[in-house]
Amino acid sequence: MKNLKLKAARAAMDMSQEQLADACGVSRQTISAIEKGDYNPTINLCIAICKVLGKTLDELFWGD
Amino acid sequence: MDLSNVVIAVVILACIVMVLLATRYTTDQKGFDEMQLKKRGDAFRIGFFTLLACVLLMLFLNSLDSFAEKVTVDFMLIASIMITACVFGVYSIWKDAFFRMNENPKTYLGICFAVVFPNAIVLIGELKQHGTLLKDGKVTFTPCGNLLNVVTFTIIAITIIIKMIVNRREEKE
Repeated sequence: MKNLKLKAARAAMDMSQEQLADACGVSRQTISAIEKGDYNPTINLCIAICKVLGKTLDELFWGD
Repeated sequence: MDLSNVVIAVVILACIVMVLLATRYTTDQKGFDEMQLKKRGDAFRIGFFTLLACVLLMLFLNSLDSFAEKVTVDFMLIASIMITACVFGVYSIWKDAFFRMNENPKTYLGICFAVVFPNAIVLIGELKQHGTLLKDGKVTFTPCGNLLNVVTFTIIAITIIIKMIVNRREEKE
């Protein structure tokens, strides 16, 4: 399932996948895979992404 | 002792040493993120089962007299290793798990071409000299091993190029 909330939050901060990846210490492909729903990140990476984007885990990773 | 057996033994030993060194190096897992490590694990698993299947197939084919007369065991062994390397390489490259973060794939492209060209030259020379790659009507380690090298590294190079194009398109989006 695609993670559109992550994509929207990243776009709202005017960040590219590359910039978010660098800030989180992962590859651009990993961020792309998370957004596409091809990869389920560990809780550590989820937290890192949330910190960079200024969101909570619920806001980005909790399904509706 | 047959010299070709010594060469085969040295090649296999070199392969084992390379795998051990690579494994030791990758246990540091430096430069790979969590998704890449997971995909690399999948690639190693697929590679392991590919090698197992190849060896079983090799044992079966070798038991057939008609096949064993035409293909030597050393060629089949090196073919198994090359097929495994190819499967691991293509899978991990396609899943973005082959290169470390911020690593330039072009370096590996250079390595691929550096392997393909000398082997291709040997092949062409052999074909010009003898008109065939067979030795006494048999598929042997040399020069058919060169053909395997050319095919394997060409496939890996093509995979790298296609993946680079796909990644570039994704980055633009």
